[in-house]
Amino acid sequence: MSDPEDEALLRAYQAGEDQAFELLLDRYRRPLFNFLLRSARDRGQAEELYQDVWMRVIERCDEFRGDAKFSTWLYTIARNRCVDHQRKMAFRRHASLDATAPGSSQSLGERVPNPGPPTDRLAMRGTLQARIAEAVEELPEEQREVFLMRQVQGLAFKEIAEVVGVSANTVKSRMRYALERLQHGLSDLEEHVREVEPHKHEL
Amino acid sequence: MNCEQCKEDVLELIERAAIDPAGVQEILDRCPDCRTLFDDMKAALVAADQLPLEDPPSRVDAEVLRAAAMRRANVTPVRKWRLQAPPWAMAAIAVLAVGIGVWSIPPNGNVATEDALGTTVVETEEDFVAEQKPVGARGETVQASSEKAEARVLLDQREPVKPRAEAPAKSPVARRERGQAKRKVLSAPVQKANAPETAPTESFAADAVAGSGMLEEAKEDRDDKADEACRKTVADFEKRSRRDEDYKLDPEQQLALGRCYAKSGDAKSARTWLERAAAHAKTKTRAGEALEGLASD
Repeated sequence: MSDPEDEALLRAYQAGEDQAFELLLDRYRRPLFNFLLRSARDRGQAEELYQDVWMRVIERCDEFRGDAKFSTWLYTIARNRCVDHQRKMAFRRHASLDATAPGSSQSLGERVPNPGPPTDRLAMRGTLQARIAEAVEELPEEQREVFLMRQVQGLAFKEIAEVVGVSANTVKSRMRYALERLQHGLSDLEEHVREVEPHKHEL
Repeated sequence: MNCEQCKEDVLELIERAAIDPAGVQEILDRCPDCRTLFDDMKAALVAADQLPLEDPPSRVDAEVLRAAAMRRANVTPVRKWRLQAPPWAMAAIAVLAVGIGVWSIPPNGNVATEDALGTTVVETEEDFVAEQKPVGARGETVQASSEKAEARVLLDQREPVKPRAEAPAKSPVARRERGQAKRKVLSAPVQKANAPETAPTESFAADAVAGSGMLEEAKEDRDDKADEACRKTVADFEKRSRRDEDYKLDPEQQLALGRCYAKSGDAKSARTWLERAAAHAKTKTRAGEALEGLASD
């Protein structure tokens, strides 16, 4: 017997079945969190966004009429939250690092102890996975979101197009550009990658 | 497939290679650039597969599940729907109610009223016009004067009353005009009798005015009808009170009965019932007026 579809689970939750929601959460928790993590580039903020997205799903589940797939709906909410978050971050970044704070002789830039990547990231750096994660995070926003939805969640190009609000061909192009960038950025690790998964290069 | 198409669909080609490697190989063999692109994309996808996936903290999941359970416990979907009935739906219901109310008004403007003792009196414009017809004591049509004959002709030329489905919708303006015409009939001077036939409302007024001579006869006829109704009212009351000693009338009925007795000339009974009616606040004024009329008579 096949697993119930996401939409059926949401309808069941609307009808009052908590277990249906648990199943949905279980299906999407990991890919959604990683989509947010790579978009926000900060684990704490990603956790906040992750919780916020699910809260919105809970609040608005009665608005879901099944016109689109649940995954499309979920990622539309998640993407909107990411866009809001990035706007907020961009606004904060505009605060001058050279200006001294009231009551302090040091500028913000001088007071921040470690302006580089967090310690845990530094510890991971050098490993293949850390390099790939970094390369993904450095992708331009519009390429990164397409790449993550496709690669992490496995959404179809058409679904991604609905979420992002562009044509499926544009989505394909963005995915291609993202892969080209990754390929270029990780060229020095090519041998390493081949060692990890040699069977994928047989064609 | 040309190079441009190959470039566009390179991701599909990578997927297709898993199920049709020979077909994809054939396409790539035609163009070295396409093969290079294909290999680069494939290598990038292989690298992307190494992207580490992290799990969200279980405490956040627990928080989400708790919120999900609370939402279901607090707001059931049905209750929420009821509480959040959209304003447009409420407006639509209101419009529908008004529409049904308007539709339920009789098509020819009949206004049914019920007198105090339950006798239904129906006044319609048609009845009103019909009352203008000269009718003799035995009911036969009286030969009218030339003015009356003209009025009759105009009357006959009026369009027959159409059933509701066929009748055009009455606009508020048309209703107002008809009302004005009706009032004109009651107060119009005789010099308007020769008004030319123009609009239906005017012809209606002209018909009625031309038949002003008929008004008196119609009034007599109406009085006859009123007398008849009164007689029935009194007879009905006496019959009921004989059957049931405890039979009681409400103030409106007492007032109506008093008036009927007054009309029939039984001043004593009339006074009795009108005084009873005057004891109630609801009918006090009208009963008082009727008593005054009785005293003046």
